[in-house]
Amino acid sequence: MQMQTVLSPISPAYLEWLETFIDDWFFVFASAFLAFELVRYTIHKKLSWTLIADTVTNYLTLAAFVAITVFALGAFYVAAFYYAFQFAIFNIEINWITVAICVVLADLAYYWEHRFMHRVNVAWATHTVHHSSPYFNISVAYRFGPMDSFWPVFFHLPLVILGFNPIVVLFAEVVIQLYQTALHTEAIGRLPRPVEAIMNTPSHHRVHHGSNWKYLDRNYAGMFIVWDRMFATFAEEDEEVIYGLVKPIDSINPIVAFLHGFYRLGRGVWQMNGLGNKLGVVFGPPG
Amino acid sequence: MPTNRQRLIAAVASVAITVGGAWIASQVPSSPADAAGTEPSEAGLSVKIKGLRNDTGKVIVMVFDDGDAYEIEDYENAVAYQEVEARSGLNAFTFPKLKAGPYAIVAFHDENGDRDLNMDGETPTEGYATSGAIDAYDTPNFKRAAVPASEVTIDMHYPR
Repeated sequence: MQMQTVLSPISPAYLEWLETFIDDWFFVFASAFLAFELVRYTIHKKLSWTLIADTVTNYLTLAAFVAITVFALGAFYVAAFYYAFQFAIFNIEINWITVAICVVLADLAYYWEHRFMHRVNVAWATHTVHHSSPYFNISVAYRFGPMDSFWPVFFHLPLVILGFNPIVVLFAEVVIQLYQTALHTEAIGRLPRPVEAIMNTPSHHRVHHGSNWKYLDRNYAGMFIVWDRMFATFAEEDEEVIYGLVKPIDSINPIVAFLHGFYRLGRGVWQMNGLGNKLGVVFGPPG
Repeated sequence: MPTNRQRLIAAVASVAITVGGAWIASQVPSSPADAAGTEPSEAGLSVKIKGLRNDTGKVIVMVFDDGDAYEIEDYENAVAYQEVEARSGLNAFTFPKLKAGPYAIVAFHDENGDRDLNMDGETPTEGYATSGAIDAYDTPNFKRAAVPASEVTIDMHYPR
């Protein structure tokens, strides 16, 4: 048997298995961490029935999102990737070095996808679901909107066209998602300065979820906060975060949570006069 | 709020990083798979194919010394070609005239005798084997498939 090195070839079948494995086990870890956070809320006298109901709502949106992905959007995702892969520009081997490079590039793609979902109203309609909880704990990471698996395709397709195998790109996307899941907590304070300088952290992500004026449209990062620092969208956590939306939904109803974004978008288009203005509502920034 | 100038610089930088990063990734080689012998030999090339699932039909073996012919399995430009009655388990082939290297070997188990690898969409329904492949789904390029060896053992895979 040859020695396994970082340059040893990896089969896509193995990556597919590994991706599902770590995704499933991370969910188990997140559930355990949630239990710890609920104990913490109790100790700080912050546990309430509203919070518990909101936590349940998070998982209900997850179920709806998974159903939509499995029965509809997933097929579009896979078809688009494999169609594009035929036109691959570079011939890229699969080993841990190239997978690591893909993770970095996918994180840059994620930064832009995320910025797009905050600044273009038709995409905000789905992403607002994730931001609509007034609480911040690991269950919020699993709060998803109806079209959340639609927009990533366009931002990650360039990686496939450049020559990364679709399975490698999907693996990178899952790694980036799981990393961010762990950031959704108030239980972890500031990390050492070198970490806060380069990586996305719970502190940076708390800022992102804040409706405080100075925190709006900041810290779009997935794994690396570097992109926000480079592209002038960074903000430091220096005042207490008020979580949720500028215009809160004030509801624990999962249907309200899941659909309020499209409801608000539709209402905005309906109420606006003139086609130009209506298009502005759809494609312009929210709010 | 970023200015338009900042947005433009950010977009250009992102495109440069992405394309540059993909190019760097394309330059990273994968280490090739092991081969039993590593030197070409005066006795020629010996290929052992193991894991055939029955005695039906024939095993067709193609040896390529040219990357382009290998990529499209152009048997007319193969440097050697053999077609032999299949035997369950281990099948051995020798190519006494192949003394240089490296060679990439493609073989399939033609169970129905139509001299073609039958497919169901993207998946073969008959047995398929490539030198340098690390599992049933691996389709190595010529650099990784070609072995400088005089002796090679490859697995026949049956995805269906």
